[in-house]
Amino acid sequence: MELSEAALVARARRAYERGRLQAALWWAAPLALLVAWTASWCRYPALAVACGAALVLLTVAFRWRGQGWARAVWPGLAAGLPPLVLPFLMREASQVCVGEVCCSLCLVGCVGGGALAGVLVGRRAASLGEGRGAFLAAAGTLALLTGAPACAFAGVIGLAGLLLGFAGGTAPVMIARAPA
Amino acid sequence: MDAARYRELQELLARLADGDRAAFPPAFTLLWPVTRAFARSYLRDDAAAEDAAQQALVRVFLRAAEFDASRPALPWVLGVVANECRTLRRRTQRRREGPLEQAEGRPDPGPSPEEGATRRDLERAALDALGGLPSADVEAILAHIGGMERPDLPPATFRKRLERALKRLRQAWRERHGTL
Repeated sequence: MELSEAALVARARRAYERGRLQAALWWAAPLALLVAWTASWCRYPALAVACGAALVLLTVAFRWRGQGWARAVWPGLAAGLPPLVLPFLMREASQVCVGEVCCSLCLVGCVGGGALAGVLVGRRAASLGEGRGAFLAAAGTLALLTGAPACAFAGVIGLAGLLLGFAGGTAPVMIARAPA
Repeated sequence: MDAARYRELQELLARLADGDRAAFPPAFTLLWPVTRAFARSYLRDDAAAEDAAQQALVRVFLRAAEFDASRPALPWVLGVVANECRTLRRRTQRRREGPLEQAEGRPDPGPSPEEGATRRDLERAALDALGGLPSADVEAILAHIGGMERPDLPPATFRKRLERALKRLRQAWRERHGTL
């Protein structure tokens, strides 16, 4: 069946968007395993599932949108691994004390992992000529969503620690590399 | 398609694969005549070619997100179009087949399943070998077989370029398949 050129343009455009969405869904599918794994040991499985669902949805959206948003996905997920793995490994340890000040080792993992994620994302963002803001927002959100289920071991303080660590890791790198 | 347009197509498909929607209208404008011309030369039937070209163009855009920008764009596009033409031809042949009683005793004029599979494998292998060549070589070979416009060159220069391109194609084929 032959189509007018305008109809063909519209059909090709829909096909293009559908193709991008399909590719994004295939790309994000393995993340379901990560979500299932984190939900299996997270102190708050509902939180892990909510973060995981948001992670998968945003990954699909960023990959579908393309350009800077899509390029932020890998670095964002990779940067989310330290705050996911460190608190997970430290969750059995009780507390670490320096003098009279004690805090949960898991919390240290959240802050440290968050800071490491911040440095990784910040360095990559700072090296970009343009689209720095979009990259930082996209990669940062994915990194925080990846790390959040592990930091939930330490409760709200763990999540706040992750956020603070991330901000603390990103800001100096961005400031140091900002154009004069 | 001349060399400048060939480069433009490469760049536009790379941008589409990256998610740059602004590349869609010029890519459509560039791809539609190429797709239509190739389908016509492949099917030798204007109405069927128009149908196949439309289907193929939609498929090219559906798969645009998968395009690897390090590979030449034109052989990739033509591979998709050739595939669509083959599918359409097979479908048309099947539709033309009459009832079994009438067919009895008549030899099938089309290729046997084995011949068809061999031809498909050869086409795929040829497109693969073509895809590894420099763009000028691909352009010369396609112009020679009528898949694109002949570059604006003196006949002797074009002949030399074609000879070189065919030599490199033979070499690429030998490297991949060991025989020629």
